[in-house]
Amino acid sequence: MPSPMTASPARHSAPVRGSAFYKFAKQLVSDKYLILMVLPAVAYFIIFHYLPMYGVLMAFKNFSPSRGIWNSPWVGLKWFEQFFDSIYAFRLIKNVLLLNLYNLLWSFPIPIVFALMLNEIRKNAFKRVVQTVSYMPHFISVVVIVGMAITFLSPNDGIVNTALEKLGFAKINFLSEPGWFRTIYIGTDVWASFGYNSILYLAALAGIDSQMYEAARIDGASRWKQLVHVTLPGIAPTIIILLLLQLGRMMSIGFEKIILLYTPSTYEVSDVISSYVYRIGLVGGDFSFAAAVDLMNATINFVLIVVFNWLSRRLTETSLW
Amino acid sequence: MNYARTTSGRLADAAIAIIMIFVIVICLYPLVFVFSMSISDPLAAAAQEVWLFPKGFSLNAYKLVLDNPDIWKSYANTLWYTVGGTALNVTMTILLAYPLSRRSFVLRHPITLMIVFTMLFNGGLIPTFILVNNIGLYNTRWALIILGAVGVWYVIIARTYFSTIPDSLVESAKLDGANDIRIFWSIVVPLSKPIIAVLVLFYAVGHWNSYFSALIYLPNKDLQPLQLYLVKVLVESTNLADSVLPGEEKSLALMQIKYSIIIVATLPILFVYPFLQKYFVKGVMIGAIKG
Amino acid sequence: MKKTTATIVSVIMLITIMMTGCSKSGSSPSDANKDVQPGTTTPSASQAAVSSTPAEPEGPHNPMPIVTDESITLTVAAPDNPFAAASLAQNLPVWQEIEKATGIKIKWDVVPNSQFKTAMQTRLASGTNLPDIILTNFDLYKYAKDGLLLQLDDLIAKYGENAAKVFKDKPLLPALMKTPEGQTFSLSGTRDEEVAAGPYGWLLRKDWLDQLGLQEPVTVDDWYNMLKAFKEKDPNGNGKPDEIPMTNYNGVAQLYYWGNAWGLHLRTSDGFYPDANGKVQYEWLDPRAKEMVAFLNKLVKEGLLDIEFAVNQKDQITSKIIRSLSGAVLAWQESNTLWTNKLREAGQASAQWVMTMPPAGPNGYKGHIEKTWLGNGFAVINKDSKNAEAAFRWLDYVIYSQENALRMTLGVEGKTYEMKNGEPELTDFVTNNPDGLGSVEVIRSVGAWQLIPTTFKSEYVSKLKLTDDILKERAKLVQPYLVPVAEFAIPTEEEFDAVNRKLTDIVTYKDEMVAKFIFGNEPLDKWDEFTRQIKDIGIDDVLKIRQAQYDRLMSNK
Repeated sequence: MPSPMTASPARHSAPVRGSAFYKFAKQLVSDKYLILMVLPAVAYFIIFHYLPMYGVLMAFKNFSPSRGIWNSPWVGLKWFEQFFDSIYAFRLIKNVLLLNLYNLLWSFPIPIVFALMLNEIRKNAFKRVVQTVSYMPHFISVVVIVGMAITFLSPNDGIVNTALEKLGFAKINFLSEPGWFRTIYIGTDVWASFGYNSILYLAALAGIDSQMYEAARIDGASRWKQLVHVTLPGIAPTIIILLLLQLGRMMSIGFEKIILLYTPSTYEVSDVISSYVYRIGLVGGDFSFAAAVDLMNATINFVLIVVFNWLSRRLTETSLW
Repeated sequence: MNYARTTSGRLADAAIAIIMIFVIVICLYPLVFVFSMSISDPLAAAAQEVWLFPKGFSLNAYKLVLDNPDIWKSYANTLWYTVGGTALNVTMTILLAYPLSRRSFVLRHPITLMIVFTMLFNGGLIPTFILVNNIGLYNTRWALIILGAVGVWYVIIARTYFSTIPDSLVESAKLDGANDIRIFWSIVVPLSKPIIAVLVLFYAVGHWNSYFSALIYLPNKDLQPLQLYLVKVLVESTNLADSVLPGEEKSLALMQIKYSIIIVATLPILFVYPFLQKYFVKGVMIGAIKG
Repeated sequence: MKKTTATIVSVIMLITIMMTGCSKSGSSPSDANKDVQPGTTTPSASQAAVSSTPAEPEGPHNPMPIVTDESITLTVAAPDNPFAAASLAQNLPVWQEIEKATGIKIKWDVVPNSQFKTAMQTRLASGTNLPDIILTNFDLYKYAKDGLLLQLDDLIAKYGENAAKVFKDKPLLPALMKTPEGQTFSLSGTRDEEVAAGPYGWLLRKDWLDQLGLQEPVTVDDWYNMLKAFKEKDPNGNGKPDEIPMTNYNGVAQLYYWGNAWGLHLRTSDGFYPDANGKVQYEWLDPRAKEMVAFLNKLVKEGLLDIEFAVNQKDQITSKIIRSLSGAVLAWQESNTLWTNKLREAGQASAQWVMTMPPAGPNGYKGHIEKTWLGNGFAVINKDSKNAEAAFRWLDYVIYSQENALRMTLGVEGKTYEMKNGEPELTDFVTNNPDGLGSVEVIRSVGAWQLIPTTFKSEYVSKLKLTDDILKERAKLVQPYLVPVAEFAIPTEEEFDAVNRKLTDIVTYKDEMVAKFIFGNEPLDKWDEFTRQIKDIGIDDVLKIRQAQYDRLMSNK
């Protein structure tokens, strides 16, 4: 409500607009310290993310280094057409989405479950040991992880196949079988990262007000009930936000691991956009084509995240924006 | 914490204990394997006779990695970037995340949208390179610190954490006459040790492992971090481009290098976590502060 | 009369003195080359051996040192030394010698090889912070077209003395370097039948053959029988049927070498090869390719070829060989030395790996090995460089001179090689390195054998790669089998656009299907469908372009 001091007869003819702006300005003033706090980071984003944003235009141009992005000739959707001209275009997109989907199904819940279990451990020393050990595999480089996978899964003398044989099954040539690729890819991912990824949930768990547990226990809740009624709701926002962030990356995939793990006989499930583009070779600096592919990925990610964020806002109280 | 000692409770504890032991085994094994491979006799390592314990003994794989006059400088550089970079990262991240967590913050919506957009769309390497160059950061230490100063993903998770701090707490402090900055510093930060610990860890690990920015923006080898050198050695020893180069037979010693590299590169950072663990203790006393 | 004679004599003497003085002019003490008249690039150059005038000899002329007052420093960007512990930026011994010889100081701008292309392309694309010289392994035609690089034709004519000598021997080289517009923007090094000096081939365990009373296989059928014997007769003597007769690495494509037995060129030339009439064919469409795939399928089915061939990396095959599980593999000949030594170290005193001759096909074709490409690397000069002339002269020396060819292959005299009877011989430091490093690694540690354009001369490379009698003998025996690889001129932008995506699709399809055929996941009677699909994707368009490139190259020669 405008104060008597600032209200004037003229305002009554357009009250809504005037007061909205006035309200906004007032809030800016009252939030001035908060605005001060965010200023450095916002400046950073404007300078380092928005100023170079024009680079997105490269996807529509035939980039010529000596002319720069602005003066390079415009080619419209040429690169996108070229990409979809490939007989493999849809297969590549499908593979990325499926790999990320399976990843979501497995790699997402496991760190949560692990964190919850850790939370239940009472012997502190044991808990800390498990925590520390679990985050180590994250640091082993992909090259070594793949090397270990090859050794263990070897159809000649790998542990897994030796065991299969002893149990009376036929040996499996794991890495050359399309049916096994996703399992191996995601399995090694989970193995390497569940401990590291659980750290965030541990922090969230630590942030739950202990008084809530007190209250629950006084009400006679069992351990299980406490888990369901205090713990889970306590970390629910974290889970939902992380899920949304993950959904916004459905078209992104770590290409180094794919290159190391895949082979022509598994192309039908393992060949993704980034590995295909790598094989094209990008001779002579084919930046425009790469930019077009990136833009396409980004757009799909964008649509996904918008849709799911809207869903999340409807169904829960948490959302990215 | 005193839980009632029910049978189902004890069974649950036992099950969890078993699973945790399994976790220890499968997580510790790769590191033990890598370590054993790195100190074994090269012949045994190449013949893949090493499964758990080293066979024979040879420090050659370490010698080949460490036998580089620049390595200590690289280590120092990495420390500089990690400590300095993380400090900047965490500060800027929480300064941005806290206001965004307040529902009444007038610019909450626009800023959130703005930063989330950058997570999806960006101009790419070339315009960023041109910018870095024009600002004068090319080939300077600051390139690695300022680039990536704030990660949107981290801001979002920090914001999520901050939003669990109830508005009532903030309101009552305001009534007592405190302004936002004071509230942030005296109340919010002490309550946020877990998330700050997480940010420190993630950013520090990110800096420690990073090499691509250094590769593009730091041609001066006196400024380069350790990882750049290690990636070079790693790629050389695995020779992903094997079929293109006229063949060279790698000495067996070189084949072992990828293992000693992991130890050299990650041992220091592995020890950071135990120090940060104490901040993940359950039950922050929000109530106490309120009272 | 006497006076006239004296005058004539003194004039003759004077002229003689002048002639001697003149023919020495321009050469410096360190220049081992004589000022001979080259002729390929300057049409007016005479073929006379010695200049008869006091003027400068005609043709390109590049005496060393370039400057003596240390006034010029060139920035050189290059992929860093693959031997990571000795970065080029440390001013390694070989490069110190080059600095002394040329008088030019070098400021190195190095990036690890795996990311070199990305880093350089970014810099080139942003047009800033460009070095004087870039030594790369990828084609820079697009940047030349965009005006970032210096055109070299005039400089070659004026200063390309060493280059001219090399071009005379290999006329295809300058043709390969020319853009579709007929200009030259980059210099490539070359190989002197590099393959022959350290060839890639069919390696097998001779002692197993001796043990089983077998001869070295000649035809593919001999190979089949030999591998079968390896599998069934327990040559490693441990009583277990654990032998993996032939192993392989580097993926499915590595097996394409077997096509050589049928007269195909499926691996190095990637299947695109000109036939006897100069028409470029895609040899995968040839029925002989089907025969090869059938052969490989048989090997896999009967357990004669390692079923992990698609997945094996170098580590895996080394392990299998050292453990005496495998007796045959496709690899570089010099691997034999390592394997033989390690096996003997492990207690198998009679172990012996040798390279055998490429297999002959069932149709009577005697087999072949393709040489590797003639050119290696690209060296370009930044158009805005302030020291373009010096940069070119430096490149001409570094890439093409005989003196530097020795250095880049065998390193530093006194440290890595000694002159014995006029021949360079590797020292013990190289052949028996105290740190257990291989000879190439030692050579690299002093700055030689880099990933930059170089002229690899077989007389030097053989010293490095053919380190014992067996290696030398086999390299000689394989000479008659060498055939040239298919080479094509640089494509125009339109050609490149038209071909590139389709080719990736074709290669993807081909690799995927051939893998399935070999594994037996797809029956071979689907072969006709396979070739039909290749046609559908558009192989004919690709062939048309390849033909244009080939014709252009041949006409530029």
